[in-house]
Amino acid sequence: MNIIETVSLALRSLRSNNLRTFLSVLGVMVGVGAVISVISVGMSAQAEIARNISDLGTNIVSVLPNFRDSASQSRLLQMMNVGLGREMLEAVPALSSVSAVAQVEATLAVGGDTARATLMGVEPSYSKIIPTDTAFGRWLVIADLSVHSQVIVLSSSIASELFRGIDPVGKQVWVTAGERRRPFVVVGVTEAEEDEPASGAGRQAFIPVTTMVYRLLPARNVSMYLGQTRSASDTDAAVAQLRRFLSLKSVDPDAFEVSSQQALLDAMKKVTIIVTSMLTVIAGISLVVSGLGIMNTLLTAVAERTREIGVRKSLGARNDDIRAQFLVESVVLSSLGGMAGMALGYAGSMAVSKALNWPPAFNWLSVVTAMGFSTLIGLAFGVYPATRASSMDPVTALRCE
Amino acid sequence: MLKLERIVKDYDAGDIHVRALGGIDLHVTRGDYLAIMGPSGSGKSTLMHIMGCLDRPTSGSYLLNGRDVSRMNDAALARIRNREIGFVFQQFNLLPRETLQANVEVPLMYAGLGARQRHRMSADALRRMGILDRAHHRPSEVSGGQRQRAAIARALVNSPSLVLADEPTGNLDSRTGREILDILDSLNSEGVTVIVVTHDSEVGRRARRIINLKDGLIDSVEAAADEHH
Ligand SMILES: Nc1ncnc2c1ncn2[C@@H]1O[C@H](COP(=O)(O)OP(=O)(O)OP(=O)(O)O)[C@@H](O)[C@H]1O
Ligand SMILES: [Mg+2]
Repeated sequence: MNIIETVSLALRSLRSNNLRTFLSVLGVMVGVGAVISVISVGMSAQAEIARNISDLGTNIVSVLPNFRDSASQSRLLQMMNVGLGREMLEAVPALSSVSAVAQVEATLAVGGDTARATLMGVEPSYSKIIPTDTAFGRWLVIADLSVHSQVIVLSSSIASELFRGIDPVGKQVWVTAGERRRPFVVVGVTEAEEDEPASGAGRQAFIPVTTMVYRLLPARNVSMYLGQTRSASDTDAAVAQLRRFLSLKSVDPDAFEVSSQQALLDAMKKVTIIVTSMLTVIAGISLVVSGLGIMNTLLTAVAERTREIGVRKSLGARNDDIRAQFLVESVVLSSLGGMAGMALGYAGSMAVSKALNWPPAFNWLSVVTAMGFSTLIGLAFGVYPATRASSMDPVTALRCE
Repeated sequence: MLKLERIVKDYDAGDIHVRALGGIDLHVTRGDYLAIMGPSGSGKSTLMHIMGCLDRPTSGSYLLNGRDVSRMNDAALARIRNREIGFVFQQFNLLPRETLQANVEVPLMYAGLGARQRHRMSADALRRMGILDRAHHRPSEVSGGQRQRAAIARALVNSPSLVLADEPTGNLDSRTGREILDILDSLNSEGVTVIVVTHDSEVGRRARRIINLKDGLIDSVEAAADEHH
């Protein structure tokens, strides 16, 4: 008997009990579909995380204070001036630029119109670290910092809300932050950002960090430093060098939290991989359970077809022929389920990535894995029923009613 | 051709010990025609299963065409059943989901023949049994007599030297039964060894010898009175 005949015999036998066949195929389909969806959605989550983080640049290093008590807090805040950023740049060769950053929520006013904004005190290098292009006018320059000039770069949505189409460059804006209220001259407008809200909070305006700490904020410290390395491969070195420099400087290894986007990316990826693997294991369990369904179906079929087994043996079927017949039935069942599950998994993962607006990541590896697994499950759970059928005594089988 | 010596078959089910055959000595020559008769439970089917290589005796020796089959392994027995023996059963034992022709092809499939050859040989066998027009029907779609004809076609298709029939007319009316017996007679006249297990004395009359079994032993052997071969 060749394989095509064996498979067509298996299909005919399976068709003789459509409902039972359908149910066990359904079991495998759900298992395989779950495995493929979970793996694909996991991959798609990873791609989404990577996309979000690499938007910020993978060669960015951030330095944040690590406040543990009020004593360390006041000591650290005293250290966190604009000069510390310059020192970092000198001490850490892997860094190509650094910007001190101070930020505060502020209200901007022109005439009767006001707009809420996150006011960012930054250095000119900031626009290289977090890519920021000006659509009109200019970006901040060194001279602005040295004289603490009251100049401001608005985001495009703030500019259009406050000036309504009039060119804002050269115009005056009143900035209120906490108790202080100061006039600023608009020198530039940044290019529109896709994800910037059209109104309300969350929009940014930039001023020189020195102006921020000397003229606007009650305290003189900045809130963080952002650095950029020459390439993504330098980030690990930059982080290590920065840690060493800062712990020497502050006589406290844990005074600052130094982290890179790359490390964050890696950590997030690790988390998604762990979550994906756990979910895959759970989905895999449903695949194994579906194998039990197949085994049950086959055991029932073997019991029902005892007489057929006896007849076949009386006509010259060897034990191996009978075993092959039922094993092929089992594998046909499970791979039918595998194929249906592949379609289900494809649809499922596409639906999820579409709903969440994640990059689609239908993974061919998951298809190969799931198909391989379903075939393997057919074999593994088919062996026992098939062996049971093949080892039946022909006379006993023939006597069976 | 068949040589059974002191064949014993015991069944042990826990404490219960059944001696189905108590030491059978029997010689059957090629082209012989035997009827095995006897009361229910006397061991007729058991003897037929041993002669048909479906079962092994507990002790004793059984030579089939010169080879001792009582010690052969499962695969070798399967081969002998496939090539040298054809079975006909009381309940026909056709595969219900397959057409008559597919049923007849089953032994050819296990013999490893290709589809074309199987098709030709099965069609020949069906034609010989006069049911070629029913080739594509399933067993449930034809009469009992046609089923038994298909079963005989299946038993013959591999040209066995021995045909074993266990109550082949048991499920048929007397006229159809006679037709089936006529077929067995004609097979025998072509040189096939035929052994029929039966309760029916009409069947017995057609055979050359009648073996009467009783409690697992040969009670008597009679040459058939009405020898019409
Ligand atoms: N698997 C078995 N286990 C135990 N005893 C068995 C088994 N098969 C047959 N027997 C016993 O062996 C004896 C012979 O049985 P067998 O089927 O050969 O009788 P038979 O002559 O064919 O009867 P019948 O005319 O009713 O078909 C009986 O007593 C039966 O109960
Ligand atoms: Mg019997």
